[in-house]
Amino acid sequence: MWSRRTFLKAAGAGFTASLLPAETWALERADAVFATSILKPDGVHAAALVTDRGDLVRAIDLPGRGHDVTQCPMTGKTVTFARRPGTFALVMDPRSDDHEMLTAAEGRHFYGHGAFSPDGKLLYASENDFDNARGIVGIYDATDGFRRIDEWSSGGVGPHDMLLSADARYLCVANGGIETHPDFGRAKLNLATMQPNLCWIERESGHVVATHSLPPEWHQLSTRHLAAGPEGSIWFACQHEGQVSDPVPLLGRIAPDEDILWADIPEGARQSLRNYVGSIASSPDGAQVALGSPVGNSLLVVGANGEVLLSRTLADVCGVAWRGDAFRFSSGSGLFGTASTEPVQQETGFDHHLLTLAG
Amino acid sequence: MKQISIVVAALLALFLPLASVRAEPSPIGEAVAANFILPGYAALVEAAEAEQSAIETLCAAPGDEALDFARQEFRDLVIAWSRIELIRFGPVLADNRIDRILFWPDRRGIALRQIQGLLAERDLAALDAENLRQKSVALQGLGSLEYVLFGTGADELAAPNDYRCALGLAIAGAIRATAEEVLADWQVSEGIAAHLANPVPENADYRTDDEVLSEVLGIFIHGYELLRDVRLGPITEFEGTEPNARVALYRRSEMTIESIAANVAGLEDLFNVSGLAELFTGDLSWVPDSMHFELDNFASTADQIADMPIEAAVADEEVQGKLGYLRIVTQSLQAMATQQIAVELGLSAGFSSLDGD
Repeated sequence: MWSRRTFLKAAGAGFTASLLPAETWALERADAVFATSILKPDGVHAAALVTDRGDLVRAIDLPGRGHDVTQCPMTGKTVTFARRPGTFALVMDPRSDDHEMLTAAEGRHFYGHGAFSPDGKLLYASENDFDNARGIVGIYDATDGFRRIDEWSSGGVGPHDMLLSADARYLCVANGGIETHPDFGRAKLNLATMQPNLCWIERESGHVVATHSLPPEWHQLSTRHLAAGPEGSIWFACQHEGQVSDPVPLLGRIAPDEDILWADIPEGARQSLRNYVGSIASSPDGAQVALGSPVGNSLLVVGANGEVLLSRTLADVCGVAWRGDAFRFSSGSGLFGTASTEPVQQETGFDHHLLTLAG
Repeated sequence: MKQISIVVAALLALFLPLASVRAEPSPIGEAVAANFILPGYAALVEAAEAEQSAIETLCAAPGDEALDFARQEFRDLVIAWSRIELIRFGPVLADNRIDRILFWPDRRGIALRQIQGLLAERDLAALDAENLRQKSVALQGLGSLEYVLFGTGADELAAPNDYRCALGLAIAGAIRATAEEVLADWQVSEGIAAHLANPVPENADYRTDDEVLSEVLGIFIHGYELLRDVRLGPITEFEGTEPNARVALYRRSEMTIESIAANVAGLEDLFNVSGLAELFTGDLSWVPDSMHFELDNFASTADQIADMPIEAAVADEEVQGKLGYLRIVTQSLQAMATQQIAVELGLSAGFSSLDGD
């Protein structure tokens, strides 16, 4: 029987030493293939690594509810961010028991999302300068204990998800437009005046070089989550703060030099999302997009023009990720599976986002 | 690619039945609309009318008694709004109506600056309720009206004071007009009330009984969260945070605690008249029992501190203890909604759908 240990022994130390760090790491943790925030059956929130069935490989308790996870392309370390308005981020090394907790800077809190630079040296985090209601991208030196070294304006209020552009020149940020302040918990303070947008920030300079604003009639359509689209474009998914019956588009695509291209999702499928997309993932070519709506108990997979490829009713579904040749999903009520097969029922509640680990 | 399409088509066929929805009447949805929401908004319209008429009388014949009466009608209007304000879906979300009626929290004091500006400028255009409604949402609701009736210089209202009184009248008229719009939208035949009672897949808002029940459950869950984080949180000492009486809602009219008590009384009423209470009989009767126990505790504790001016109350150690207790009770009432009520309604009390991001 093949085993990793005998393989490594047979290959000799020279072989492992010759591997790039990320590849070594891939061999080490063959079982853990996704990272996610979870709610354990004992009611404690944790950052977790799970198998392809959603079985827990490892869980580290968090001081509060976690949100999304991002992974360093060089070291394989994951960072799980606190859900807004939390102030912690957990750095985990999936190869070992090592982990460390980061704390947001004074006057800042996390918004639950972040991204690494392509060389893995910098970590970008969406943050809130809450006293001034200013969206911030916090910048951390991953090679120096995740020391916070700088910050940029995110170009709007309430930055949420962020994603590197395909050429890695830009950081695309979804500024959801919603102002919150820790003095008032998670209450949304500016629904009458919110102005969501999507910004392209040049990584070299930290300058916002392009902004996509939403038309005034959709100013309550909060731009939240991002996924890579075809030909360097980026998909974005929204949550509407107005009535559930308002016919607003929930999915669109942007490129730096082009206007927003809204996906034309057929009405019944669009309604199944109940104006709330909690999570988005795309296929490697960007031509298929999975949308999870825990409010609509709806998992939707659409093509590049919004045509419905798959629609399922799943209790509290939200997390979506692509792995191998299919979308996977997870739900707050513990369901875990691929988009097209019967899910496994786990005891763990899976939080909003699911990240496929590299390797 | 073709092969993928075939697979996708097969999968669609496989899963569409799962995605098909139950179409059946929702007695709870019907009761919520008929017994709570419609009467609640009707009472709000009535209270706004009463306040408008009280201010009209005050403007025509200023005096201490007329001013007291207008202030009392304001308090009644606050109670009427508080009882229904935790309904945060449907027509009240359209056209920023919820912010028009109450712009709060107002971290940067926008409403205060604007109303003080109007009083200083004596902008005559603002004296027409319809004109006023075209202006900032922060100017046309309960916060501005409270400042007119209770803020710095309000005692001048007892003597002839054309502008301030007329502005109060215009604000009361604007609140009434907004409340009437909300009520009218709820009264539309085959509109939202009918959809709550009879969810069908063709509706844009409620397509299944589960969607209706989730909306109803959400009133309790989000309502108690709002009371805890937005109303009680800022005035309560908690985990080292300093309470701040200056951010207490309705501090000028001394309605801070009474409004919160009315919010909770509204939720209690909703539980009773929606048919939810009847779901818990026999072995489950402990659920409403313990809920009423908590609600009674809340009401009696709130009652003990309601009469104190909020500045004094917030600074008082004993009152802080009581505010902390109210905060805990909202937490346990929220937990009851998330756990017991959700389970009894057959809803997955999924933590993602109930509290997303």
